[in-house]
Amino acid sequence: MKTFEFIRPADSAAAVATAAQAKTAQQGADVRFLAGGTTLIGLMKLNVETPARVIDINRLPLDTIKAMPDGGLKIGATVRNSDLANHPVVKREYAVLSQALLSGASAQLRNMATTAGNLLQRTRCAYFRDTAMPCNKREPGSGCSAITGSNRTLAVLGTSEHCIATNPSDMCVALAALEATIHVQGPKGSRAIPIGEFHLLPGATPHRETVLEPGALITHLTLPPPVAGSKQVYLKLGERASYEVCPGLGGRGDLDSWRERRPGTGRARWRRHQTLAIPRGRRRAGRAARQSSEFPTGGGGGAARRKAAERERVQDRAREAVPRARPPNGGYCIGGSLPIQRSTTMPAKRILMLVGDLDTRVEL
Amino acid sequence: MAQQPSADPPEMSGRDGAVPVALRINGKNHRLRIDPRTTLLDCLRETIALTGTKKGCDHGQCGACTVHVNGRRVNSCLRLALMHDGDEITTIEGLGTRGALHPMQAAFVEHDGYQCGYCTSGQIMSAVALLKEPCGPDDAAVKELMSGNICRCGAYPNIVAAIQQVRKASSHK
Amino acid sequence: MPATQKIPTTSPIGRSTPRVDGPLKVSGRAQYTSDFKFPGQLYAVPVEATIDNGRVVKLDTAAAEKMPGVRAIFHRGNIGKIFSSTLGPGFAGITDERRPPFEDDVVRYYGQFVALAVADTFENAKAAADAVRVSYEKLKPNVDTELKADDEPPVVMTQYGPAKRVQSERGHPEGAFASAPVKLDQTYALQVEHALRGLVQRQPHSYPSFHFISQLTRKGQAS
Repeated sequence: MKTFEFIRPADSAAAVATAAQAKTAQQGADVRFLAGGTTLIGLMKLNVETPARVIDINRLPLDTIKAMPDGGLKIGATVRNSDLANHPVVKREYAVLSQALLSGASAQLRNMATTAGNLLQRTRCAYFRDTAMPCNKREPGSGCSAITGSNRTLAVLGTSEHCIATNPSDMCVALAALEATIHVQGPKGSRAIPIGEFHLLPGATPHRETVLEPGALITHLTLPPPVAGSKQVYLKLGERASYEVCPGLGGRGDLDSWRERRPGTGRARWRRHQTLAIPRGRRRAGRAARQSSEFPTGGGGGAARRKAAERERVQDRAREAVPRARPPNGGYCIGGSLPIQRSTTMPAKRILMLVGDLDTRVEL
Repeated sequence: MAQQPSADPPEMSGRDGAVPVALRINGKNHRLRIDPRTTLLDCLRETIALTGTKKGCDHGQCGACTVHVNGRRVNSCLRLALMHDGDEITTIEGLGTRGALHPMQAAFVEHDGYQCGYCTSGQIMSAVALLKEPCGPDDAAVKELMSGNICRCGAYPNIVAAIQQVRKASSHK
Repeated sequence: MPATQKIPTTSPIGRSTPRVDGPLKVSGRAQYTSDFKFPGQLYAVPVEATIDNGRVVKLDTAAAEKMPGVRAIFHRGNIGKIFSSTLGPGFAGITDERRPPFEDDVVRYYGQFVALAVADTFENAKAAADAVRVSYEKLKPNVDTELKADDEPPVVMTQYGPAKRVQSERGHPEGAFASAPVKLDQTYALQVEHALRGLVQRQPHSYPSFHFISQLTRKGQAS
């Protein structure tokens, strides 16, 4: 680890003022906020992040969950993931968020990780985390080792020719379904950012992951009032049922709003392209998934068998989840995180057919 | 909280950039000057020489480094020691001694919840914290909540049995 | 009086016997290799190869040597003699690595030690190890699947003495499968391996007295 100055600010304003001196808030920032440390300290050990100054925000009063006058919920930035997941109001009214949080990491990590930290967690791409390997996210222009390398847990949707990184957060998927707003205090004042506008696609600038500027301190999140009578299920499909170290959120489920109106308000462009396939009854919509990325094709008899097995597995899991989510009015709402994993030996079409063979509609 | 002078020699000769910190570990105060890069794990093991907490992966994945901070289980390898000025830290050494074992430690002995024993400190610290967390009654729920502690020797069935025994005993009180 | 009497026995067979090291292990008092602390102890962190096959071309330790707390950066050029363990009867003396570290400039696997940073604290040693600059010549590994046994001698010298070269031949798996009366063809998918390679403990040398502790913290590497 490179040596650094450890700073404990007296209040949020002091934290913001110090962080505002950073040259960037993105990859490789010279000043970093430290909350849970589950992302930052790991990356500092790998020399992927090398801040000269570390600002410990754990003692700032950002750790409460409060009901709002409009019936929504205000969640402090440094609320621990475990506290958020187990909060009675969250479990009752925003169950998808609780389930998403509990489906990820381990109990120890959930006790350390914070709301804001979870929003800002970094990709699990092995090349990003290995400073000996070229990586456009760490060093723009150096190349992407993953595209032609070991990329099984990386993205197939929302990628670019420069970067195929996934965002590993389960919480963000649920927050997107719930249409959360992220509140940020910056050197020039506060702003409220809809979650769909918070994260950036890699595009040509994979080193830029969010819209945050230097000094921007996430202070809290707000959730809109819950929809009465809604039922929520978080469906996570992974190779392991428990503690996925590399959860490979290749495609996020299309989290259609749990309100009547839709679609697209404030969602990142790429999420429109991913559809969570949920079978409704046994009918097939016959609509193939829309997707915009190119990825290599391959083929062979073995691939067809794997594709069929994979499709069945997804369908089984999805069918399992549907009855649990069915509310009394007959519709359902599912927030899903589907780690569609790229395999260098599998044909690209497998992904399309996999998603397309299942009903792609989510209805209320 | 009264600060008593620590009985441990502060090992800080010749270290540039050392920063003071007061850590309260197993009920005892330690006044230290440490390299800011020191993780809580390395501080416990190297600076204070409390080696019961183990280093496995040093990356928050294996759970061998599990300790309690203010009663909650965390991976000490992903915490800077400096973050915990004033916090109450409990390690395996603070749970019980050979002559006076904590019920969870005794249950592990009774159920043979270990082979090489390297993960055991972390397993026990995790399990004790689990007792105060919402957890379903069945083995599957325990396994899920213990999924942050791995055991290369595969003592899992006995570990789960030990934990369930302690949970049943506590629920009958 | 019962027809049979149970005679007390100390035999563990048929009984559940708590292990004598149990209380030590559950209370954190059992000491493993890296739990031993010595006065004036130093910490060594390896510099590991980032290629899987090839040669070390250049090793630049100048910056690392000047870093705080550093006592030495060892490598092939300055570590002096490292004695291989000699084989005793049976398996006595066998180590994981047949070749002592730094014996030559060849890199045989990803993560092979190519240098060793020694400092007064773990943090200083790790930072110094990270500051060593290594240049490699990357070579293609020999993963040839064609075995050429005909022109090779039947007996070769190994470090265990002369040994008969194993004669091998390749069969015809596709044909065998096609003509098999019972066929089973399955595909299994495995999770990406996240190798948690924990502590590698090495015994202290008799002189000079180093206590090697290496932390292998990489994950997800292809090797």
